[in-house]
Amino acid sequence: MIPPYYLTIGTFVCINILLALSIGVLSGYAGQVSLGHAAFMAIGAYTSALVTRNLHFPFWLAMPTAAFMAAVIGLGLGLISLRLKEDFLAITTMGLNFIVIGILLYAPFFGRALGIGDIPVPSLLGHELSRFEFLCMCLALVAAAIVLLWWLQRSWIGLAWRGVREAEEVAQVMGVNTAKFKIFAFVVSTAMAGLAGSLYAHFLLFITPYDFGFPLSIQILTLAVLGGLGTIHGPVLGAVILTILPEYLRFIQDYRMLTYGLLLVFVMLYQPQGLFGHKSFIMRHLKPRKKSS
Amino acid sequence: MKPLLEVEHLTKRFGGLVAVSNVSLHLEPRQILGIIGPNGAGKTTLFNMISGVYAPTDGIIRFKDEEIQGQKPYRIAQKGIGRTFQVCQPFKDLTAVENVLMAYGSFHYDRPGCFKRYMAPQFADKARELLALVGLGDYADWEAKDLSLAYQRRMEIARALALNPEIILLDESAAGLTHEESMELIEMIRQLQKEGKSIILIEHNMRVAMEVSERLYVLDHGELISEGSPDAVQQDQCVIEAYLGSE
Repeated sequence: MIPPYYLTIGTFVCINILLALSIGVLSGYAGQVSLGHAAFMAIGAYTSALVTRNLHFPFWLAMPTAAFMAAVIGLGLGLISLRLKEDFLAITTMGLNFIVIGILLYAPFFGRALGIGDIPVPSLLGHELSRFEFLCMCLALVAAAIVLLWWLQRSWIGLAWRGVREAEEVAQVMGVNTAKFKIFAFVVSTAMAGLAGSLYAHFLLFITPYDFGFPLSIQILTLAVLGGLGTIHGPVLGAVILTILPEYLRFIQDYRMLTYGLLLVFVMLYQPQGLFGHKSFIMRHLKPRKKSS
Repeated sequence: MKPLLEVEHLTKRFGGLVAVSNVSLHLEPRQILGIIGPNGAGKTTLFNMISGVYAPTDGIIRFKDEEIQGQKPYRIAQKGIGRTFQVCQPFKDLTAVENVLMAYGSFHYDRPGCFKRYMAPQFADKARELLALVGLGDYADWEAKDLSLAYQRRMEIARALALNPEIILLDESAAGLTHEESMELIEMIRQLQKEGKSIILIEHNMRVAMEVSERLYVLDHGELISEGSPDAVQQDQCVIEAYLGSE
């Protein structure tokens, strides 16, 4: 029997992996910055909570609905990204985060500052999922997301994303419809964030706008950047480490966040490609060296 | 013979600056045209308009009887106009073969084929063939940033060829090359012509421009000041003044 504490940590690891992978698609592959990804998690969480509570959707239908809603807003952001780049896009996504939180805080439909409670526990064939079963479902979704991204990155789409990331104008001259692939990256990325939001809502059963503020957006970005953008394993390992590490730093209590912050600063200073990114210190030592001819 | 590419009265203004003014030229199938002129003459701007990077302020670009001015660069590339860049623009973190595959994929990006594996052997083999054609067969798996300038320029030509273009725009492909490398480039350009490609090249290297071009166009301050055979252009007083200045 796994203690509930570990089940909770395991579930948050899965949710964070999905979030890290979602930002990994957008920033790591397609090179588009997002400082407002928590907004898409919020859209997913609120959609899932509202359709299950008010419209009595089953969780299994609410989850794709949440991903779809986040993707629709993501599509809008993708269209905006065609006119904005880098810093301007980053600030726009940040603004989107504030707009979403603002709407959630001031519209009575979304429960304002009190948020939404009584979110149904997911059930399958009349049986409510236990915490262990919920974790198993999350692990299955993480596995599915990894397979999907692995498949995309080795397809022409993945190559087009890398073209957009490295030199958009050149990719266009090479025949790549960069606008289409940028928008596609936004749709895939935000759908995954929406999915993570749905899992979050149905795990905690109570959500408020404050759960999805700007600091969470930064935290999501940190998961992927620390692990290593441009890879699948980087964001996954980044999410695992940064979800579990704070738990192990509890013994230093008040200095926990300081230590955590310093760690990030040092990693970025000395391993800007992330701990597990291409050609990072760790990956260089893990990969077998080529024999010289 | 009907021209493959016709440029008529092309003009590009950047605010008050007229980068290209009322330039017309035409390219016939299997022809090699050279565009020369001092720095800032508007040569690369002309290429940028033909390849769709800039929309012209005025004028017409007709490729196989279709007006293409102002179309998106990827559309023009997919129609069959490939190009290289004055300052090499490789995808640095991609290998040479992936760089070539990027262009080769133009046949897949807008179709359901975009879900296919880009490194599938049949695609990779084609890209390697193109790299071998430009003499980079042994460097296919090198990251582009590790290639020398000359090799990066060759890789750009392979990348342009991957589009299966009818026209290739070579923007100062001989810049920074040694004498031997320039000679190899001339040989390669002639080989491409034999294979049915039409080529427009911008060159500062007069030896390359004079040796391979069937017809030369000379730009100065955005205007076409001379055109004709290399021998005729060499004798043209306007060209001499543009390069050397007048007394």
